[in-house]
Amino acid sequence: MKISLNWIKDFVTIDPALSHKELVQTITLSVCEVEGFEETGMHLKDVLAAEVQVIKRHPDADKLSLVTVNYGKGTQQVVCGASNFKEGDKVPFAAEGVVLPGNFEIRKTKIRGVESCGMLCAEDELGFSDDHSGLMILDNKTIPGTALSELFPDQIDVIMEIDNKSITHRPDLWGHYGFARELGAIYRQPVKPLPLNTESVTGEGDRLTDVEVIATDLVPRFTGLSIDRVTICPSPFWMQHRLLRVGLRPISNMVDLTNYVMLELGQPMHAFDAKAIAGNKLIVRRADKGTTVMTLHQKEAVLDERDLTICDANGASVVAGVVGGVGSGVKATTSSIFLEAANWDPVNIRKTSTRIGLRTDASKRFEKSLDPDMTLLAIQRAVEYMKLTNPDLKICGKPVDIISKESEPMVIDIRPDFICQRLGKAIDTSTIKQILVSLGFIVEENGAELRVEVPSYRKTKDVSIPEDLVEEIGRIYGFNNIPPLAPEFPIDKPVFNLQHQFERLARSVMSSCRYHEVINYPLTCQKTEDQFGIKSEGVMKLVNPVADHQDQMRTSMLPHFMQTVLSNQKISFDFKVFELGRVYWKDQSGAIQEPERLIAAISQKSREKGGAFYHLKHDLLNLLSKLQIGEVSWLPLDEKTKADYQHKFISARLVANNSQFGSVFALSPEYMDILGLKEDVCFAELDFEQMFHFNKKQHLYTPPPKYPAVNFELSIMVPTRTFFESIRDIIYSVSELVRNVEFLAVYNSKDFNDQKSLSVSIEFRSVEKTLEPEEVKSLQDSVVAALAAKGYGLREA
Amino acid sequence: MIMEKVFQALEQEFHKILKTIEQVRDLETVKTRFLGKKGKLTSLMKQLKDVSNEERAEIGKKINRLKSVFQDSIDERKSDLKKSEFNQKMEEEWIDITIDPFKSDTGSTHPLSLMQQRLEDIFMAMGFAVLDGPHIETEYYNFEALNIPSHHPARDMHDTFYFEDGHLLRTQTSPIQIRGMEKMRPPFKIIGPGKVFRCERTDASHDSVFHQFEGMMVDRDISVANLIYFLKTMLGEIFESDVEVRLRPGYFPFVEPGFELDMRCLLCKGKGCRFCKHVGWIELLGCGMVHPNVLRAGGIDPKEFSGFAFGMGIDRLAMMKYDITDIRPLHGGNLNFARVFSIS
Repeated sequence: MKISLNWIKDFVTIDPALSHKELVQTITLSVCEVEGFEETGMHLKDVLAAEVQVIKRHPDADKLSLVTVNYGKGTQQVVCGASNFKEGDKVPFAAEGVVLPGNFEIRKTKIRGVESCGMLCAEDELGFSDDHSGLMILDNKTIPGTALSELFPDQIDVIMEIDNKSITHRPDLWGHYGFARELGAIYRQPVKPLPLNTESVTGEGDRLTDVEVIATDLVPRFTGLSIDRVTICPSPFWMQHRLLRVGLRPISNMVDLTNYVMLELGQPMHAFDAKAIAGNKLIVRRADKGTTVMTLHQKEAVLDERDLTICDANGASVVAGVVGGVGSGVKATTSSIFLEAANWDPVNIRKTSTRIGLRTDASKRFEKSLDPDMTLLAIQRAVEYMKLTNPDLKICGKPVDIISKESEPMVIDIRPDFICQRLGKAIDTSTIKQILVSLGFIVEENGAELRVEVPSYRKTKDVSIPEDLVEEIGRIYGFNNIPPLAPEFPIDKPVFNLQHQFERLARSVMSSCRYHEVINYPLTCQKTEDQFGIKSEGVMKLVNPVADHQDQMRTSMLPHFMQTVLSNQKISFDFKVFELGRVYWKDQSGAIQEPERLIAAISQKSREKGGAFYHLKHDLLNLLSKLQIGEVSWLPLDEKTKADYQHKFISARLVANNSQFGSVFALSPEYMDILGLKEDVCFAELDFEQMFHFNKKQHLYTPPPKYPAVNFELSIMVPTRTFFESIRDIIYSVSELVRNVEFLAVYNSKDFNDQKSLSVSIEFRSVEKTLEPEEVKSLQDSVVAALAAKGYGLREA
Repeated sequence: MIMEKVFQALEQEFHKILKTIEQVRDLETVKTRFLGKKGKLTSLMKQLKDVSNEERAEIGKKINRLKSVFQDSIDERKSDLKKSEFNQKMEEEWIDITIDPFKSDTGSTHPLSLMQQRLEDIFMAMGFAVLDGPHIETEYYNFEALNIPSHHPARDMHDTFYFEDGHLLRTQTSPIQIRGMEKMRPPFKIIGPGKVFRCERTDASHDSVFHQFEGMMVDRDISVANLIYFLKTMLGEIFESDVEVRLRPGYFPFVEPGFELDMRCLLCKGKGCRFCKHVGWIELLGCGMVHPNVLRAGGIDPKEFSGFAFGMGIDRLAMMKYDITDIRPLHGGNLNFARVFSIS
């Protein structure tokens, strides 16, 4: 919202020594956020009124003319493209060197061979409006040489851009008067009162329009006035210019003055053409289902019984508090009007405006809970402004003023020491009183307490509890005048977030294992998840997605992560990457689950068989050890539960504490092809949530073995698809003295037919004594015999 | 005296042969030849039985001397040869230390994780507990309990993603305040970092998914002065320098009074630069004294306790710290972006 400093100055005196920058900073620090400000009209000091003396045709261009003007200090010939003026007219003249808005400097130029020195200006070039239809024609009585800043002093102004969000809670700041009140309190200046004078809005005779409010629950107050003998014409220049400066387009005197009052007091109004009100009666009621209103914005609003309307005998003509119907307002021919200023239920206005998708200057204000005491004053101000163009207007009868809900007084009892304690700063009670009074609060001392009555324009929403008064005192006193103070706080028991520590350890191990962390969006779409055959039960779907590909919560990290791998393969094939994040769904009991997952991948150039898998396994063993996950079994994937995209052989499920908590897998050749992945890629998906809740393996000290171990190596011939672990288990079963069986190497050869040679290292050790050579020999023989019993022979040397 | 000559000849022979030896293992042959059981010196000793007693003693002495000369010389030669063999081996082991044949990639932690960890460290050192909350929240926790009733215009500030069942994606980390209060009794100090969601279009400085950091402290007699002190201390730690801050009124329904906190631009020291958009101040966070309705929603009596709360964007802090000018790469998954953060 744009706020004009001149407009504020209509109501309060601002020290002229104060710089605009300081003023804006004060508003920012004590009232609300000013996003920026613009000083307007300074160039008008250099633009002079000039009299057109001679107009000649340009010798070389039909559309241009050569104009000689007298600008008070001399005469000048200017090439001009406009044609809306005649000799003797007074027009604005910018001489060589003058800088106009947009940093446009006037220079001596030649136009089609004729020298032109200076420029005759249109309204847009001077920043009055965006009108470029012709030169701005000044009052004919203007003396040539008068600066335009003298003719239009109001144009030298400061326009501040207020952040609307920062005044959501301040209905009183949706008009200039509210800002005047704030500055008055801050600078301790009196604010020009706007007293209500009912007589000024009361006329002879009867009203032209009757009003009935049916939906009284939604209309705390409805005020209106019939006015006859009016003519529609343009508003005074100053009003038009002011409206333009704060971003509103002038339309006609009646429309402009309702806007002007809205910007002054914050109270939106509507001017009806009284003769167009069918049955001469307005009825305020809920709409019938399916009612349509063609709005001023040429948009059809479809309403239902939740929406409030103003109707006449022909039906709804206005969507109350939001927008007027196209036929209800004033027209060029209007000669009598009904001026309405109402107070509507804010929630209902907001709902209607959201439903019909129309947020107007009016609805934006009504939804903030406007002061109901403002309606009659708004009418009174409107009549004052109307008299500027219609001095002979006739007010018909008394104003309509239907009050359905009397506003209750709001009184807050507060102890000054509560304010000081909450702010952490001792402030005199007299200062506290002075600040509150200057903001319009009525303060009465009542023993140790203050009885503070909240003014009507602050009590609808903003101020209701003692803490609200703390803010009022704090912001006017200046929060930055409160010195920082260390809180007194007891020493407390440290509380750790174990899950964060667990995450942090995982991140640290993964990045030490040379993985890069990425963060993907948790939002996805079914199409993305479908590709991996992920079930759609319990999926959390958004009602209002911003993008089609982000309309639900991911139930798996894999699809987006796959994209990460794919896109990075375009840069290089060798990388390791991981992500730690949540997946989301609703379980069968209806509870929403957000477990954490860790997903990792290795991409590398194809070298040996299973290269990426083994590298990933190597890193995961490190991770699992650091995370103190106890015994982990690496088991083949179950053929039935294996996903299509997973490789039949290069895949494993990870089991600990009898529970599967993850899988490591390459993609099937078919999926590698479908997804466009290349070379050697392997993924790991771990249920991080489950891992966190596992009982952690404790690292306890055990003394080193007392007696020496004897190591012994064997190369065993086994069928090609034999798992090392099945051989290991046979060897372990031989004797308790077998302490360790380790994989050494595998050797394939065509000579072996469908077999391979598996070399293992076996460690024998007793906890009681050093093993004798005969005992070792006997153990070795038992191992060979046990293998032979299962059909596995030794490789012949 | 013949013996004398024999000894001399033997000694000469020994040294001549020893000189020709170039391998440690060949020294053994020399040793056997001169000092072994069937060696030259032994056979000389055997001849001693033919000489007189006086001579024998004299010759015996010489033989022993020769024995030790031979042994010492062999040992010395052995040590020299070993040294030279080691030197040779070393020479052969020359490598190019300027190459990285493994093409090491360093691995990295995401800048948002780094920032969040740093913040958690600071707050934990100040005695705060770190809490979490669900991303999928209810209207109650995200709005109502935070003093934002339905159809309150303040909800406009939160472009909220809704689910079909009425749940929503939290638009702020503030629900963690309520969940924290439900579990804890004052005095307490908590922080709640995490993801938040707003349904708005993405551009260089806005994303629909971003990260916030919520803090809250509740005790008896907590004041605005405490809030200023605390935030100044905390920001000094985050930015690792003395910071100047200012408060201005800001509207957040869950605090009263509510503030926007600005920090004096660290780059230009307040003179105005591109970074602070030429205002000299950087809008950093929202904060305020916890609204009595919010305390009540958390089961805390606002007559007995007061507190302050604040919230700030982790993404923004990370972007400031690492000079990231566009928010989008944070979720881009490009490892060339990640490699910049190959620290910690």
